[in-house]
Amino acid sequence: MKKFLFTTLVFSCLGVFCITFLYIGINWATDKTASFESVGSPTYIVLGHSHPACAFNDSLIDNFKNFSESGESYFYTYIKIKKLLEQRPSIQTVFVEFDNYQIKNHMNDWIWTDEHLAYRMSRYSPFMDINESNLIMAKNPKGFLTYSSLSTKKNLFNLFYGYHNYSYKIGGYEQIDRILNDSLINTQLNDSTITNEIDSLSWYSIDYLDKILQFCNSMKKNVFLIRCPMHPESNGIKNESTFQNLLSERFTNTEFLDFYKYPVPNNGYGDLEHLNYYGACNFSIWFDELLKSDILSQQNKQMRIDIQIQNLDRN
Amino acid sequence: MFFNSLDFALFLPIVFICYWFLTAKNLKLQNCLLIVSSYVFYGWWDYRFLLLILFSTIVDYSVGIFLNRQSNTRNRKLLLWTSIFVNLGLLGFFKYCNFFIHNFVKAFSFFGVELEESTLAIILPVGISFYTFQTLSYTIDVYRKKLKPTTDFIAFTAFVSFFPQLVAGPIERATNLLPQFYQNRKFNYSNAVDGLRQILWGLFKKMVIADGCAEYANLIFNNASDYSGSTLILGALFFTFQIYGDFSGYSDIAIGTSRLFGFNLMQNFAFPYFSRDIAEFWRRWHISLSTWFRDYVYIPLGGSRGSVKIKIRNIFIIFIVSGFWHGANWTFIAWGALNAIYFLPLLLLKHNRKNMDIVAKGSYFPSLKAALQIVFTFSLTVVAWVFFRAENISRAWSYLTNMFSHNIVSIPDVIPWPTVFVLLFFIGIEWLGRDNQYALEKFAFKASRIIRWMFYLLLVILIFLSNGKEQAFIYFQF
Repeated sequence: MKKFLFTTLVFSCLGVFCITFLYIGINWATDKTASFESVGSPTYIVLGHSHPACAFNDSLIDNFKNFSESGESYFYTYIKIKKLLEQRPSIQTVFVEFDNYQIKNHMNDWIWTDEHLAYRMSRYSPFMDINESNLIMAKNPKGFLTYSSLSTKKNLFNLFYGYHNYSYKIGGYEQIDRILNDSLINTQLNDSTITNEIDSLSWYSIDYLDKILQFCNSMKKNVFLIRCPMHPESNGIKNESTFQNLLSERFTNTEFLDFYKYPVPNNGYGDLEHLNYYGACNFSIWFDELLKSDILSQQNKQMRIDIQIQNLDRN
Repeated sequence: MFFNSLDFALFLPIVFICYWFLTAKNLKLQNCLLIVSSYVFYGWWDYRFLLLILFSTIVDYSVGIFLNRQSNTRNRKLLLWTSIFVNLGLLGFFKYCNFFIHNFVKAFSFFGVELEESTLAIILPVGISFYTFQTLSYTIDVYRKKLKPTTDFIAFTAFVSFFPQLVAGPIERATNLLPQFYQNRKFNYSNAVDGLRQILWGLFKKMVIADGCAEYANLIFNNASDYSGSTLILGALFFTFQIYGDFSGYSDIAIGTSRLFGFNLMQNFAFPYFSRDIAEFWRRWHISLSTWFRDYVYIPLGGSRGSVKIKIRNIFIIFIVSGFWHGANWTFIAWGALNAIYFLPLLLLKHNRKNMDIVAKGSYFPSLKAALQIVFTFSLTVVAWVFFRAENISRAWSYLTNMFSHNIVSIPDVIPWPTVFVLLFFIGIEWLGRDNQYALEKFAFKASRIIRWMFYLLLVILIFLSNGKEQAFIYFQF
């Protein structure tokens, strides 16, 4: 029995060593060869989840690239921004979506549940540092092991076939053609999956937002928190007071540009939280003009934005 | 709990340590541990169905005891039928109830009587087809006085619920497995190492071969109308290896796991795709089920004795029942009937026992004749698997007609080269190891330990790379 246990243990250790070596080796090679460059040299980029992904049609905004992606938490945005700023020196200004949804407790799920790991591990595991890997391993060890293999396989194929360009895999403008109607409004208002928790916050997410801001500052980039337009009936703003408290207490050093009240008619929404193609085009053209008016270098930015929004409302 | 899950990777060592270190000195305690482990293993899916296993166990244990006490033939028959009724009743209710309701309503509508169809919301308990057949074999063998009924309820419960083979076989005979629960088991190093090797090979078959092929088999079968004939052939080939890798992989893990606990289970697959005729294929494919049907259905019906009509009838009964055992769908019945059609000429020409030994024994290559026979037999099985895989008969038929009608000689639309290379590697290993119980049993034994271990580590790496989401074993649904 002793011999059996010893042999099994030795073989298991060798197996674990080989797998770990393979995982680290492939991640290292991917990290070294991955390119985040693409056509154009944008000065402005926007990051976040589906709200900015659907709101900023970057083909209508000069020198602007949308790198937001649906379902992305700050955890993965942090990994992404490190590579982007490292490889694309043209980027000078970073907009990071900060809205009422992104502070809620369920954002933790966006970091480590199987559903999200299945998709994001293969994209981001080569660029994670030990802290990120440890967090996932601690929170979902089974998921980490399962999706490590999937990501190793995918990255091995990417290396083999020479698919090194990541800039097409990490986000972009997402077009919604659907138009918000009454039945969709009712469905979403009655949707129990949209949680209304007020006090329960995702501190992991908030910490990673902090890291994003710190990293951008360390790279001497201008960084702004923004909030995309949302429908006035959206469930999303039920935690507004918590949101505002957090903003004023924790992110005082970063400017917040709020477009929440940007007037969009119902036919400009795909649902209560997302702009559709029509809404995104209108908003993007307006945003382009806003950037061209040099708003970012002016004082009282939010006041100016509010005035412009009020003018739009009147029109 | 799936064999290819992390849960099982933790469960197995824990049970192993408890089994050999905590309970090794007391047989009853060891059997109790196996029962608890087996119930945990099964309850991991749905603990409610544990009651069904327990019920089946109690019924067959009691029937066995009463059979021993009865000498009156009529009463003995009554007891036997009680067991058959209970076991097949459970199977019939959970597996076939909705199928019969659906077809009953359809049959009436064919004659112009419209009935309202209301099916029941029944969940099929995992492995019910396997453990009911296993317990039935016990009662039938006791009835036939081939086996003494057990009075050890713990041993019997452990026999019915033995976790390595509980949910997908091999369907063990009581005559082989039950006595092993009466004997003290001693740890045997080479048996245990062999068990681990078989588990490794089983995992490779399941996770690398079956799951790898499944990805493309599903893609092609689900979009069959979009693909050329050559792609459809490739899809059918992928499914052919998927089903083999899946089921024989499960059997290898089950047999290997049993060896770790000092049990020997029967071989369930003996390299069926190297068969030279369909009769040989059926002696090598799902051996535990084929022999079960042979001993408890085919031979009682008269087997291959009697008139030609009787022979044909028996062959069709055995294959159609075997097909129907796999699932409540006409596709399985068609698959069984097609195999009966393949088999009949061999039986009628008395060629069915021509190829008893493994092909090209002791040589690296088969003769041209044997190679052509293998290719022909393999092609027949590939065609039959299309019925097995398809959702319904019309889809199977349209798949086959498309397969042979358009662009059969063309480059397939989908060629996943990595999967194809791994498949060729697998076929090579299987061919080299075809003299053994499983391909890896003595593979590279002449090479140094370092070379052998490097090969095993390569398998481990391939398994790791194939690990995505846990994929359920196909045969669990049966």
